Amino acid sequence: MHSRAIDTEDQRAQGSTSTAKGAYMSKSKIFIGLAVTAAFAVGGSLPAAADTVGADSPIPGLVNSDGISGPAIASGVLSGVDSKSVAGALVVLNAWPSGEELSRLQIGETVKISPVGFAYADAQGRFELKISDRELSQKYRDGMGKIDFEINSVTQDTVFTHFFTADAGAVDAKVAGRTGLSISAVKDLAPRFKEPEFAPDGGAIEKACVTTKVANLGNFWVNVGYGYVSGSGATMKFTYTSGSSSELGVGVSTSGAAGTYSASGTSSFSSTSTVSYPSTNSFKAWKTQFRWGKYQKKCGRTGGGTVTTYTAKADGYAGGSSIQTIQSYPTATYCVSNAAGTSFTKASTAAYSSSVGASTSGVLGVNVTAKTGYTSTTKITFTFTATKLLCGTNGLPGGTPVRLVAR
Amino acid sequence: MGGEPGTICAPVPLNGDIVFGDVIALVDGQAPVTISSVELVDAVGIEVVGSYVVPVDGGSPIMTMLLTEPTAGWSDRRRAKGETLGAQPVNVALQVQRSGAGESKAAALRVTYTTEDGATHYDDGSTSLRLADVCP
Repeated sequence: MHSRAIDTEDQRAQGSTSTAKGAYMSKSKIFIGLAVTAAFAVGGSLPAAADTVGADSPIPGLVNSDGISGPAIASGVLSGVDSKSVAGALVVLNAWPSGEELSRLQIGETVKISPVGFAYADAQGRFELKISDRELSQKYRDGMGKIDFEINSVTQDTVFTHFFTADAGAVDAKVAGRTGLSISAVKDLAPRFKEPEFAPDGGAIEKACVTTKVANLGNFWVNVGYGYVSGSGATMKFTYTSGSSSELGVGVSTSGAAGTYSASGTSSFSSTSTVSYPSTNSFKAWKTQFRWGKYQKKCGRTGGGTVTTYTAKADGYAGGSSIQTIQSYPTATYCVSNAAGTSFTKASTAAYSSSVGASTSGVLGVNVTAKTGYTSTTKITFTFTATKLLCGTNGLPGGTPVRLVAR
Repeated sequence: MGGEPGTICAPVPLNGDIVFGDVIALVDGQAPVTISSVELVDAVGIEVVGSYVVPVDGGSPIMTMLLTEPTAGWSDRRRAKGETLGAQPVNVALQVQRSGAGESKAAALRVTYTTEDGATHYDDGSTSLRLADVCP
């Protein structure tokens, strides 16, 4: 959004400007506003918690989200089970270490996962998670300003888990009480596992959880970019530079056995070397490899015993390059005309998420998502050798196209 | 206009011309507005020869255009200054000339306009322009 209003002639003469209200508004701005609405649509009054602060809190040092003013970091509902079983359930927001830290872990080492907020689900299983730690983003952000969160809730017989990635700046804004930035619209946390052997004695104690890296699951090809040239008259070149950040799918399982994982949100990971793909045409997906690690989480239960779950998430960048030819190009109707001899480089656009972005099914049992936007370090250049249209799937190429098609 | 950054590179010799355009769309309730000017932001080595509103009926808006290969709407272009814009998106375009032998560039295309209440606004595009002997 670059619109500015010039309020008076005097101000204009002095170069003083203020933000225009309702002037030319980009599509991305409107979309963000809608996303916020969606994120908070499942909100509403939450039940009064038994504990809110300090020593009575189920997680020492943390305050019940119900007692924190300001907007929620994430909100949602525990669904897919009898609502009575989730009413009053403890829902915990955890911050994971950055991908850089995870990449340095050896098998058998413990992962420092920090509870940063909690809430209790209401009678319908709804919850809102807020945080009060104004230093949080500084503690947990990675080199690209991303923070990986995990929402976790263990009821009598069901474990709910969801991962999501947030921009540190958006987290700061939420903690400071500012609205208008959407972080996560976790609208529906369907049950990830059921363990009928659980005794009906309540949930797990989050403070007693220990997470350990137990295995490397291998390297998997991840789609980090897409581009399309129909016919002749143009070529395209994709560059995935060191530091480029992708949001990669997370798998969760109760047994940890191959093929038993369910997709459960995303976490972020940044590349550590540059891949410059050759100039090409046709319809392409550009790939590089990331390593997925297997993490075991054991939590003590209020009635004794433990709950064990497994998480598979990206924890290393392996590099390499592969280009896959795609059979067709997406519908792209936001077009502009480009002259022969010119080139257009998109250095930043909203990320495109593919549900089969990472080819993990052979090990996890499911392909997980991969989402990469073009940034100053991830970019695509189209070079036109004939006058040709360049079209975006979600907006004009000069705006927020998401995917680009030359035709 | 607005959105996320991009860059155009066009191989244009010294004193050569090219057309550089963008699309503006008013949000509901803003129209009509009157264009005061269309210009380049932070231009170095590039001169604006003419600023236009180009009809896009039946075609696509201009991002770049060679004068030797005009789009269908180019012959119906109108001077941008004083043009009244309604609710439909409009293609604004600048005919520019490379005037510097060295680096020739501009940060964005800027449209300045006046709303019915007399307030003046401007809107910058998010695509920068570079004119060079050879583009990579």
